[in-house]
Amino acid sequence: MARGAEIVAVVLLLGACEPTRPAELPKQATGDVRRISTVASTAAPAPPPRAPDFTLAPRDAGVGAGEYHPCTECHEAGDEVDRRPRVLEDDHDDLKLVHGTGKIWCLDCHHPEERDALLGARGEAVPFAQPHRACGRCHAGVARDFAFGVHGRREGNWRGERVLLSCLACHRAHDPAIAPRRPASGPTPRADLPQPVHHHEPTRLHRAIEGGER
Amino acid sequence: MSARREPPCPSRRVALKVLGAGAATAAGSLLAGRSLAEPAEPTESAGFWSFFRTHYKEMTRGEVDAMLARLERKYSRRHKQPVKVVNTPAPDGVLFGFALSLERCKGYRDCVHACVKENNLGRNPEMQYIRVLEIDRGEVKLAGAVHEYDHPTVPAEGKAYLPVQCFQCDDPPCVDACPIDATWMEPDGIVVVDYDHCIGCRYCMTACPYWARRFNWTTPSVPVGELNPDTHYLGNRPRPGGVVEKCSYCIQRTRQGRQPACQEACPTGARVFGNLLDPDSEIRYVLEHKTVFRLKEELSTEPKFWYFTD
Amino acid sequence: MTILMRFALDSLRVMLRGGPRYYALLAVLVLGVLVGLAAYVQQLQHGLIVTGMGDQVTWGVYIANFTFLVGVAAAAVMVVIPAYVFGDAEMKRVVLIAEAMAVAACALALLFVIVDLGRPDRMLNIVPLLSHVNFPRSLLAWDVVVIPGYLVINLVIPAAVLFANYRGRTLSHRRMMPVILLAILWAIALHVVTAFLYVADVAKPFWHSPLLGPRFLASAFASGPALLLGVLHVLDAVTSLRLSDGVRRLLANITAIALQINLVMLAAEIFTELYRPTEHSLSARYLFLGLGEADGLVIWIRAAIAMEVTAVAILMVPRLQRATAPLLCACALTVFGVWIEKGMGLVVPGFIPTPLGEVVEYVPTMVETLVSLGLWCLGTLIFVLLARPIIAINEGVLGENP
Repeated sequence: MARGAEIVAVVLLLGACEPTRPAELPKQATGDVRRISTVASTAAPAPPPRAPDFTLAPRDAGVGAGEYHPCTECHEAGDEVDRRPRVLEDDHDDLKLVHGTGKIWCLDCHHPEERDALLGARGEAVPFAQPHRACGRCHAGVARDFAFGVHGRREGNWRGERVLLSCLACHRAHDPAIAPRRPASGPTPRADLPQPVHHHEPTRLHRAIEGGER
Repeated sequence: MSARREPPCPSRRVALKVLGAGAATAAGSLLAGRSLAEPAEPTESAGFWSFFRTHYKEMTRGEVDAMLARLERKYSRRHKQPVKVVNTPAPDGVLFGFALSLERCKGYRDCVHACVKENNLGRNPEMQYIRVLEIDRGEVKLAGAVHEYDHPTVPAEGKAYLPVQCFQCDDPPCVDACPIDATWMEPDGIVVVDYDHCIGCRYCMTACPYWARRFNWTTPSVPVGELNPDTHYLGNRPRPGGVVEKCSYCIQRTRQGRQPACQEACPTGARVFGNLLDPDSEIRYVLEHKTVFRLKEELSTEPKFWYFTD
Repeated sequence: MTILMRFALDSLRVMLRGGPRYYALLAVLVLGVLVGLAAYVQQLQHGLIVTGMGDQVTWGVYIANFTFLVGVAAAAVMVVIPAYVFGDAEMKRVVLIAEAMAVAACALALLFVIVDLGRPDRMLNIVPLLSHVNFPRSLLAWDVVVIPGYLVINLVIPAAVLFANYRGRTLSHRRMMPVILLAILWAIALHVVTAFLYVADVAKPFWHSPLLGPRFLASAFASGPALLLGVLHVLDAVTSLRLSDGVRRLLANITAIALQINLVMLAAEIFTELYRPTEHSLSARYLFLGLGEADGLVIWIRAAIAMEVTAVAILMVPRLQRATAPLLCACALTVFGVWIEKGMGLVVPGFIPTPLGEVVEYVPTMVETLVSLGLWCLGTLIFVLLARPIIAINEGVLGENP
């Protein structure tokens, strides 16, 4: 919810500064950049048919790397599965499912029968090593951006074989929000010069919005 | 392609230069603080002698190779480690572009420091190519943006982050400004500086609407052992003092197919880099499927750097 | 020995010989130059880091002086036109002095650019014809063509006139006319090009104004004649050169009118910037009102406007204009007012705030100040040395057959 509002806010915010979709760029221009924009305008809005092939970067680092225990260590194949969503009290009490704010539970992502697998978009079993296929069940737009290399990160090169970071390189599956942290150090103004003066004047509108009244 | 042009008429050029230089030899050497007897090492920062050097774009391949070898020897000696200086030309059919997700940028500044290391930026004082601006949510206003923000955690409430660096404008005002062609746009769209030609007038810096150029107010120094030894002539090789420099989209990496250091360092994957001429590239996907904008588009500088939101 | 050689040697002799007061003046000027040189050596050794400039404010007092001096150089046309085109006999007596001032100002302007360079040792890279000059795209390349060109024109014409005077002849009006016209056009071009150096800058809304070119001309035609008038008063007092009432009145009137035109344009700029201030007006707000704590130039620009207004008031009252002390006072106010307004008051605010909104002020350091003072001494020295033979020959003291 909060994130949705945030996105809306950013979109609105961009509206204020005249966002330019590629399609709106002048077409008569000669420069390469404008040429691309023109190409872009003819291509949009139909989605490209298929994302180019990619492999996932090995997860030797990142969130939760090396914490993986196969579920079949305890859940044997063929065990009866209780599909009712419920709070798990005996085992897994160390797991805190923040993901989905209570709207989802284990078997929305984990495959109920093939215990060492996740659940794909059509209910198929997806190996743990391919988490994006499970995440895409709900996050279809993000999954598409991911496959095209725009959500997440392409590793190493910008041409040739495409290697993408796994979803889990950045997001913890059960608590996917990226935790805020301290920023790295800022610019280093020269000590021998006058120091930067921060000059910011909130407008009347600003003050009204922030103060909640005019 | 950057097919190297042969010098149109070297003998005439040399003759003119000798004529002009003869008169000014004494003055030039005095200014450079060097004795008249100093031998010519044309591409070293030694300014006066660099006058006898042909413009980089008009050098023959042999001249360039000799110069690069000389630079490698010099840098290796000075930094006590083997340093490579290459001049990988622009790849065919490539025009580099950058996109940055404003939603995903959280203001961590990891890109800033990765850039400093990768590009051998001077540390006395530290030069930074990337500025991350902290702006209030609800507006995109550069005046009043906070540059020195420091919070226990970012993103700070009510704030958004806008990293700015050289946008490699397709119609760059800085290149027009340079009185001596010491800066130009390469065929792959990267605006580069020849540090051995620049006279340090800083007119290009005033011409840049994005405050993307930096000047070496003193001879920049990188501590011994911290130098990135993989350098490009037009990119991250050690710079002399008194010249202008700027982001080159990590020309030393990107011309070899690698990602720029800032992209690699971004912990949220906010940066998307690629070939604008390749319809299957990530950058083209952004342009075609996301809402994008560029800074100060009204100036018609045609930045090859887009901000986007999903 | 040819006459030309004798002319040169005689001129040189006059330059180097004089009374104790003349030697004292030369000594003071040379001392000033040496101090400036010492400061410049500091700058060469450590780099421009010893100046108050930084990545935010990249041009400072050097380029401010350059801008002002180009105006002084161009203003010589205000004497050249009445002297050569209208054949005004009284102006003809001082036109060579005006041109000597243009030469000194031009040379000084070039030197101010050179001391501003990060790599003065690579200076030859910018010499037209010898090197790779980005002409006609770069306005700085235009300046590099226009300033030395103007310097040469202003050396050649007066030298020819002086040589003719030396031989007791006068140059034919008709033969000189084309060169004079070239000089006049060149002077206008000189200052317009320098204005366009700033106007061309789309990154700096404060400079990117069509009014800047006309403002440059108006302020130049005020400050140049005012400076010349002051100088002529001094020469009248200490040399055999006499300042006639006609010259005095004409120069004072030119100053008065040009200064008023300049003030009108300045007022128009202020109104445009401050009636409904946009983000592009921040530089003007910094200059005239200050941005919060950052208000270093406010007192200066207000003083400059006050000086210019006072100068206009003095010059427009006939009784005051005729009296020497108020007139000299008005000249000084004009020169200082314009120096502030189109020097520091134009160059520095362009950088504040930066294109990314950062507000960092600029204060020149001791090194910059000393280098600037040294250069001003050098300029004065050049002028004094040029003025000596001009006065000697014009007053008939020196000649082929004196």
